[in-house]
Amino acid sequence: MNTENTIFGFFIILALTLNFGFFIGDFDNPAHHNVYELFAAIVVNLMAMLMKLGARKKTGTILLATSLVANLQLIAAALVWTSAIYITEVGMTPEVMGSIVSLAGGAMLANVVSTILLITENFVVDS
Amino acid sequence: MNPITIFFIRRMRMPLMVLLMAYTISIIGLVLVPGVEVDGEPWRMGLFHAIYFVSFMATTIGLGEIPYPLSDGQRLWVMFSIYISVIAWLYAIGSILALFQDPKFRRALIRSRFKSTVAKIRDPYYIICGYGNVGSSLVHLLTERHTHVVVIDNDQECIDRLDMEAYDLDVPALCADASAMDVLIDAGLLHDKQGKGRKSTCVGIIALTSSDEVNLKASIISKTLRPDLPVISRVEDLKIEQSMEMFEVDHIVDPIDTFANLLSLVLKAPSLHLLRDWLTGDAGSDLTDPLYPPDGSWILCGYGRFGRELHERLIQADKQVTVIEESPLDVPEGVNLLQGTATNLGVLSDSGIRNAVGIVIGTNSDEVNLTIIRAAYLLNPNLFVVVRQNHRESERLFANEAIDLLLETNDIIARRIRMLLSTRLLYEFIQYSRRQDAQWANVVISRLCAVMEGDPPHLPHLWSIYAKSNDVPGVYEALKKGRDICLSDLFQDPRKKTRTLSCVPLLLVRGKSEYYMPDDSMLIEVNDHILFCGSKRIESIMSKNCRNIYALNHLMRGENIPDGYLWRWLQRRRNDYDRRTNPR
Repeated sequence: MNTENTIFGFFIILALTLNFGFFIGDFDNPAHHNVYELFAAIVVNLMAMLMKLGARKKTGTILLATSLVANLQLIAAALVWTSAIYITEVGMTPEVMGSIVSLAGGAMLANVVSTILLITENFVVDS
Repeated sequence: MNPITIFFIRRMRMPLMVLLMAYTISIIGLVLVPGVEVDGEPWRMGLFHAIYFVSFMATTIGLGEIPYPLSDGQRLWVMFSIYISVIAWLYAIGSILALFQDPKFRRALIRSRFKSTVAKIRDPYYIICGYGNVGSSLVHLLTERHTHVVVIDNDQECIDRLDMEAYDLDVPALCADASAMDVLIDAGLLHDKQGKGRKSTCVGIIALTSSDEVNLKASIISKTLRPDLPVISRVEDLKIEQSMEMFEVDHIVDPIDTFANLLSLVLKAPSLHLLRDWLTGDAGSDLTDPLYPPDGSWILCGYGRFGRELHERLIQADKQVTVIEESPLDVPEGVNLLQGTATNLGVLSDSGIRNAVGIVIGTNSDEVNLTIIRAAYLLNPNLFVVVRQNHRESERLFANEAIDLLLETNDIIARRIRMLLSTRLLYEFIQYSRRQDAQWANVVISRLCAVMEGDPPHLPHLWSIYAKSNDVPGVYEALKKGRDICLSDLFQDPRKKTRTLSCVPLLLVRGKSEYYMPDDSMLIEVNDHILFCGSKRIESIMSKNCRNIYALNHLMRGENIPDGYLWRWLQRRRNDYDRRTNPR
């Protein structure tokens, strides 16, 4: 039982699940996408990225790349939300919700890739 | 990713994680704890305001309680948040600082910076292993000639000294073991112009460390990885010297061997030795005086490696030698040996020192050598004294005594390597001079004396001229046009036509033929390589003459060729008119 590997995997998959949870639901219905879930997704994605830093060379670099992509998109989603509500006073319109959810969807794909890499790393014999 | 970045990231993982957790906890708390609006209405901070508040709270900026004054519940939570977030920040910043102080990190940083600096050198450069006295004088020599150098030395103090010197060029230096292959590779050993469009080339490696084994290892690595690269190595032990010969090291500089050759030269022809001394010394330093070792019997103190070599040379020069040695080992037949301590006056007088003309003192202890000098002078004040100085620090002690010929290891090595690194012509000239006789040397010396500058005169400066298009375009153009230029044309003084610049042409190389001490009226051809001797000032005047065809023409003919299209056209018209009106 490798504790380190368990925690590593835990954070990566938690990042994916929270992201998915935020993403799922009607595309432009704000009632289906909770801002706190977005917040949790961002925090856990950041934690997952920190865990991936300094990992082994071969898979570590690609994992880090996927993490960077996911974080970029999620933070962009948060920024879109903030600017819509507080800065430009547009309010929560369906278009705004649509943009937010699209960005979150992109981040989710990156997290999926990351998870697949994690699985293959653990089930394929390393060279 | 390079090792430095990986190192940094790994160290910063924990602090960044702690920081993230602190921020998250504070934000969540602020979002949950209820606040109060101005008119008493309950109000909750949204995510946006919570993040904003935590941002300026954690970095201790503390802008204020926005947008409404905080309720007491909120204040309690903020108190808790302040402590955890500020401490998290301090932990993160402290880790960064500790990381930069970490010697492993700093070493890795220095090494990586060294490697990239070396890779960026655009010109050909030398690698020098060992930065002692010889190393620093060589670096000085090479940087003055605008040749790049890379230095490796195992002692941090030496590298510090190098950093503080003001050389004409930047000298990348690394404190590392020069016998390690990865160190040499980082220093650019494999940089070869032919490979992968690289711009920098390593053109030689000079192994000068005080350890023969390190020099051997560095030479072996160099010859194995780059067989074409010239290797100059310093060595003192005979066995290691033989190993180096196996690996075909290009130039093995053995101070004892070199000194023994010097002694032979002094004994055979003092003027030859003087000439060599003058030409291989530091340009600009004081002239050395000639040495005249007298004829007669010699005493040799100390029969180690040094003693053996010199004994052999003395015998070759048909001198009678008595050897004094404390604990003789493997003394061959026919050697006139007296066992005893040479510092003992009784032993010395037993050896016949009162009737001897010269003494060679070669033990490996400076104190013993100094004592023997004193003792010898007591018994015979007219001795020709040849001494070996072992350590550089004893310089002043030896300078205090009246010594005729002093072997100082570093000086010998420096001279030899300086000659090897100098223009190839000088090396040829010195080799040639060895085979000449005293009369030839006297002629050369008298010509040199005529051109030396300074009061008192100092050692001359040597330079060479290559009659190629890019080196001396003036001369090249003139030769291409079919004009005759002789040597004396090159050193006419441009300021006063009848005067000549005080310099001496020592050697002219044309293809495979060499002309030593060429005559002034000799004609120059394209691709001739000429070695001159004079002073730096004269060199710059001469190079100005040679580069500019107009200056050269003015020198040779005293006429000004017109410059520019207009004047040349006018000149041509004038020439045509002359030809038409005065047919010859």
